[in-house]
Amino acid sequence: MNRRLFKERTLLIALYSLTVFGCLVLAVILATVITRGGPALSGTFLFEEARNFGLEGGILYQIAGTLILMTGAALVCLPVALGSVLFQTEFLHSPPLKKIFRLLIYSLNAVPTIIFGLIGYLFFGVFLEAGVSWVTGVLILAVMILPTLHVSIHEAVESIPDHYREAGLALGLSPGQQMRAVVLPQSLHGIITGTLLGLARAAGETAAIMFTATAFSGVRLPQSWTEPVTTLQTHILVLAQEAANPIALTNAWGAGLVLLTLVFILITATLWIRSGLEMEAER
Amino acid sequence: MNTRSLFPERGPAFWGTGFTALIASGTIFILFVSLVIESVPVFKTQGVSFLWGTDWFAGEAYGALPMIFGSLMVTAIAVVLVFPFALGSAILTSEFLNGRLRLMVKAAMELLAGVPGIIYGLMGIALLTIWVRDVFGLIDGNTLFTAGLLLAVMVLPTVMTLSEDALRAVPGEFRDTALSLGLTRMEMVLKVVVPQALPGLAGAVFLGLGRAMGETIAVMLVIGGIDRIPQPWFNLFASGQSIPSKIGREAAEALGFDLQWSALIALGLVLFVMVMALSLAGNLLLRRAR
Amino acid sequence: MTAHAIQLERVRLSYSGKAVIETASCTVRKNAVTAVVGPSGSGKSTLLRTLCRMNDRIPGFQVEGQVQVLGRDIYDPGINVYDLRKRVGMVFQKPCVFPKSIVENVLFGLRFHATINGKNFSERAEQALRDVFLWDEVKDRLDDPAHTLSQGQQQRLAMARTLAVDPEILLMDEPTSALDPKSSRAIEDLILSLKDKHTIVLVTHNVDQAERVAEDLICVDDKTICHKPCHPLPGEGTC
Repeated sequence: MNRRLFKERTLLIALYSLTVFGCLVLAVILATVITRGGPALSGTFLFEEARNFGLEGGILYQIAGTLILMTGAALVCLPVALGSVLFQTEFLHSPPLKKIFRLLIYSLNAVPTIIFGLIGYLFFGVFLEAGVSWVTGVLILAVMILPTLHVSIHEAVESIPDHYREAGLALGLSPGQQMRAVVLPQSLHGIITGTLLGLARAAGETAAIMFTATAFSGVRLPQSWTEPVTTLQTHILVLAQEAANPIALTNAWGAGLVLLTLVFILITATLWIRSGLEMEAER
Repeated sequence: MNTRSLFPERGPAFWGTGFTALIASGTIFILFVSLVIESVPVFKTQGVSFLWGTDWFAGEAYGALPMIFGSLMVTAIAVVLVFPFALGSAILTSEFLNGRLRLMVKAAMELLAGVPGIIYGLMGIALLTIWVRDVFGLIDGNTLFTAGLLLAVMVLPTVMTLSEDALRAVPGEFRDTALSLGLTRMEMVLKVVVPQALPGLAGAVFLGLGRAMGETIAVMLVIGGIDRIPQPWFNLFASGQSIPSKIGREAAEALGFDLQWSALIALGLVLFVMVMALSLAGNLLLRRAR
Repeated sequence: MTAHAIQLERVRLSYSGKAVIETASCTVRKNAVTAVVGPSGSGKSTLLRTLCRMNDRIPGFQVEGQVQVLGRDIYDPGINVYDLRKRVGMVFQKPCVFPKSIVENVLFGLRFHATINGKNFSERAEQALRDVFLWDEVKDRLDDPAHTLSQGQQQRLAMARTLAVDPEILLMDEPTSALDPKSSRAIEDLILSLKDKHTIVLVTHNVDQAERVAEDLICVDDKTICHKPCHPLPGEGTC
């Protein structure tokens, strides 16, 4: 009997160590990015444009570029995601079709981002003649984050209690009216968390935009549809490849800190909204 | 079955949402078909030998084997390294932690999942490569092992979260029954819960594999970028190349329509097929678990 | 040794502060069948699960007062809960068999407790299956998967699995509620045949069933319980 309890304790300690180690990774990442990127941060770093290939000046236009691409992608993606969710939940009644639809969305979620870059460039860059430009980047990222938004909104719509729907149907609402009056207001939290997660995913993506939407130096705000932008992600990428130069590396960590802060704010917001909802559900 | 009974009401709401649903569900086909069409030129000139050729010289020969090998290798390393951590923390979180502590672990995983790949890449290039070089006494820290290690960290939240879901999907009755027979909690977990959750755990690993295989930017920065199969092949501490890393490095210069572009797209097709197979298998296993 | 297998004194059970049972004091005789009856949601199952500490896993669950089982306060920190559950077995509402063979299901719990060799294992399995009158039905297909059995057989298999561990007390949480009338009667007969060797506490919503099999009755209602011995016991009041 004592041997059993001893085994129980030992294994439990092992599980705790594995978990703590896993969580420690997050702490290490945070600590590293903050300690190495912190020294680079200053007013000039945040609000000046990059000079001398990122070795001097700041990252103003990189921040702007990241914001442009991620908000653009979310704005383009949101109506499509909303529409496809509503079609799936309100019009698609056959279970096998629903299953297939779900599987297609999950498959899209698994597609490596670099493939979105390749094919997205062909479609938006070549066929739509947008070239290497911020528009191409926005559209590619919009497709890339579609599953993220879709799954989140779908979950919210599916969890609407039946009596809300029945109340709407009993009043004789058409499907379109039902969506506006019942489904959309009741799934607002899913729309918000999905969009926030999509924004975070778009902000963190590099591979899909590095050869389709961005240029490294000499770029400010885009003045037309077909101009490239510069982003935090690609800025870090270029500076990281000059790892031997300590100034380049410091500035890369600085840009990394800004990017990580942006992404973590978005994710924390979704976690916060979700935990608030869970508490409400428990009451 | 006629389509009328499938879609009884056909107002503007139907057509509007239907159009967006078509975009959402059709994209995956568009991706696949485009990959196939655009890779035709390289298969025309090289034949199927593209798949097992070992030399890649832009403008002369395109052989994908080193990249395919590298992708499989780093993915395998990642999954071997991540599995104990993912399973251990999933078991702890699902079976032994309650309330606030459980939420904290899950929140940490969610944040970890959101760390941009480029940050991992930066950590890899500035710290991990040097660490690997010094610890294993290498000349160059840019190796398949380094990439696998970095990938392991990157897919930890995916595998952990999905594993935890699979464990929690095991009905509570089985736990009650096992405990009522006098099993300890750990015996219950190992003999009842884990065996029951096995399909789901396998699904979690498959989806993790798919995620690892498609990761570009972090791998690109630490894998070394040399298109060759190491000698001997199981030498993990040699530089190599993975498919996404190869595409990422050469796409900018090949952007357009020549044979190099087609070869890159063909690489993308190979990657797409492998990742889709993993993701499909993973999703089916997860579905069975629920 | 006292004549009581279980003794509760001013026991209060609550989930995160909300009381399920406000106050419970009662006793359960050894080698008798005691039925716990009451309306659904009255806390019968919670009370039963408390007796082998099955509620430990539920966050926020709290026990106050004294729960004495087999002469010991089972919520004493020194108690070995796994040993307790070996001596106090439990059978649940829905038959729950593991995805293993019939014989492996019977031996599932025993394998963790016994230090006997392989030959004795099959003897123990046979004995347990005979105890629940399942032996003749399954002796030719012991290695078939357990889920090929009918619901009634599965429930008897679950009981055999619990009996194989050789518990002194057997707790049953509405063991017939998921079964058809014929299988239910088989379980009732089984309960009667087991009471010579075991103390049985049976939760049921079926008063007729309680009258058929039980000697003592515990009623749970309105967060309190009262004792109604069918055969009056000395020194114990009725309500």
